[in-house]
Amino acid sequence: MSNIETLLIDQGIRLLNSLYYSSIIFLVSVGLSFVYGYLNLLNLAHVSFLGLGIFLGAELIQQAVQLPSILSTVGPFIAILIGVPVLIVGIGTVFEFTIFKPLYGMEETFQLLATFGIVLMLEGVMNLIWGGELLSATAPSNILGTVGIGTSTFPVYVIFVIGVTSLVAIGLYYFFERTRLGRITIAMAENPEIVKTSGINVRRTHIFVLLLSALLAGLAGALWVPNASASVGISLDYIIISFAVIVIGGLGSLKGAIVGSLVVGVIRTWGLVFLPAFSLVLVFLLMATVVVVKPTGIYGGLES
Amino acid sequence: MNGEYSPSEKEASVGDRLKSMLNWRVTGFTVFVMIAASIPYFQERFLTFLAAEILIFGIVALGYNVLLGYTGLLSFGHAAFFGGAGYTIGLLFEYTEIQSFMILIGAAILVVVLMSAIMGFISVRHTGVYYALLMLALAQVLYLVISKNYTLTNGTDGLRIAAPTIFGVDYVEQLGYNLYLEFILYFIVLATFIIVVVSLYRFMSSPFGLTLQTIRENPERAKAIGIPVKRYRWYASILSGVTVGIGGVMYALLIGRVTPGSTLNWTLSGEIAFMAILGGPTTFFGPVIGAGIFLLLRTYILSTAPDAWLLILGSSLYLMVVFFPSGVYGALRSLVSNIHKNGIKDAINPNSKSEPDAERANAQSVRGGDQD
Repeated sequence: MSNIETLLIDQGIRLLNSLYYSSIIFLVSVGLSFVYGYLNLLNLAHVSFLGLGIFLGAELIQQAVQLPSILSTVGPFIAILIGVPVLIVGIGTVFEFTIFKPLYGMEETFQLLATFGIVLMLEGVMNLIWGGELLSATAPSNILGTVGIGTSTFPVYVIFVIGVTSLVAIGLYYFFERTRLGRITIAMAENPEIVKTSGINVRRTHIFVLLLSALLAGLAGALWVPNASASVGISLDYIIISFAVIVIGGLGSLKGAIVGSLVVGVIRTWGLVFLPAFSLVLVFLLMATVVVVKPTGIYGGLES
Repeated sequence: MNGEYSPSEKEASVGDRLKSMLNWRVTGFTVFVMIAASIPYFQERFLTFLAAEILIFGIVALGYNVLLGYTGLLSFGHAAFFGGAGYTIGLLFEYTEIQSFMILIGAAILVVVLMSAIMGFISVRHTGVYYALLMLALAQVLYLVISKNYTLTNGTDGLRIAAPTIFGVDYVEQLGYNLYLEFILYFIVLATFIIVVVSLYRFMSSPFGLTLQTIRENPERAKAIGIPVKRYRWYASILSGVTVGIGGVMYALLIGRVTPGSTLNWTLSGEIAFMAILGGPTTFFGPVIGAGIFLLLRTYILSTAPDAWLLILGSSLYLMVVFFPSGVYGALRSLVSNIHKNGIKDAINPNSKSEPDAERANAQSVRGGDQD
């Protein structure tokens, strides 16, 4: 095989890895962005749903593998795509009515502090339940196996994650552009008073947006867990990364979250080649630069 | 005191001075310092250590509150100053022969002034969330650079910090570690605490401090009456950063080691903010009370039910922010002043029609009232 071919294959694999990473952080940060853009709530605790998704995903997958015959093959995927989202929506509903409701309309800095409190609180709960354990649930990744690219092999599961995320992104785009509820949500971000006077139940839309975001973060966790093992505290790392994504892309924008996560994914993956230890430093420097130069982010200014 | 005033003026000034000495703030602070100073005499190493930690985080929370309470800026990046100062002396111990306390703290202050001047200069272009996020991003850069740099900073293992010499005397060698901790280091911490409290108090009641409060209350108006708002926010960032840095040096000396996890992690910035909120960000001395409660609570819980610590920390932070944004000290103070004004009955009845106390009004204006 020629050098150029190996080079291309190397870069292709790197591209897929970068897309995989982008997928996960897109699913996390898009919800963070929605909740900020549409509910005016800067929710640090958003990543707690990622954490819950990781642990619930691992638990459900481990249960599903023990099912008889064909169910043990399909089960893990049902657990990821349906089981975890359903559980997260249930938990999210409880949280919405109890701990998130008092935060709407509060001053932003107080929201940041209160949701930081929620992060620690839920981190504490997860620590009580799953603390000290190293959960792993590699079944979905094992079931799909690997595909040969040139001389090297590549896990199909990574491609599956990228595919699911692309579908989610398309679905979200269609939802906000084409459906009534989606348009209402956008209108609510623009002018809640007018939406309210048009006889639309704003409160219900609030709940919907929060649950949708929680669901996406939970899905990200469930998709993430087969490729790595989970321990408590892992979701904390994602708080700052997902802030970087939505700040770079633009707070409150779907396109911004897509572009932001692609940019961060690319920087991180290729940064690992040139500056192995400091690839994330580049991400934060870019984030700081964006805030200074164009605080609305790449797409934030266009939509509002 | 050059004798150019008349006797009556002299009397007045003595009277004023007496009055200010009887001022409950001064009394309270004096009592606090006296209690703090008596702690080493119990000869309980654990107790001295805890008291020193409280004093150190008292300094840190006071410094943090220059921004949060006085200027109205929430920062999620102050761990950078705390750890930055600690790492300055850590690196000096590691790579130079410098051991003098005065040189070490001088170098650390210099580094932190530079850091906070740069970080502040970038961050004060924005307020609110963007300020918080910018500080977070910049602090995170420092965290990553230090924690991933194994060759220079020993990575996540951190650096060892030896005992410094104080005016050329190595007290650990002369007295042993226990006596050094209880009678030298502890009193250095206490003296630093007093210096920081007194000078910050002077700063904050000077026109400078009042200007910051004007900016917090109404930046537009402050700008309109000719205050260079951004520049003052920048000054406040530097003052705040330096104070937190001084706390960082003391902490490094006390613990004897700096690691990225314990001194640079962004959750530390959140904990510092919690101390300020817990005590009362709209009061001067509140953050010290907050630091005290925080550390007593943490020490108690970590020794009895360590697994529950995060849960308790998080839920109490949440409850404080949502229900008592003026903090323990602020709530007590408005209760006391309500008792003065209206008697006990009205003071404990939240629906009393009394004139809202400045603190409460303040806290509400910080929280913002529009629910939809």
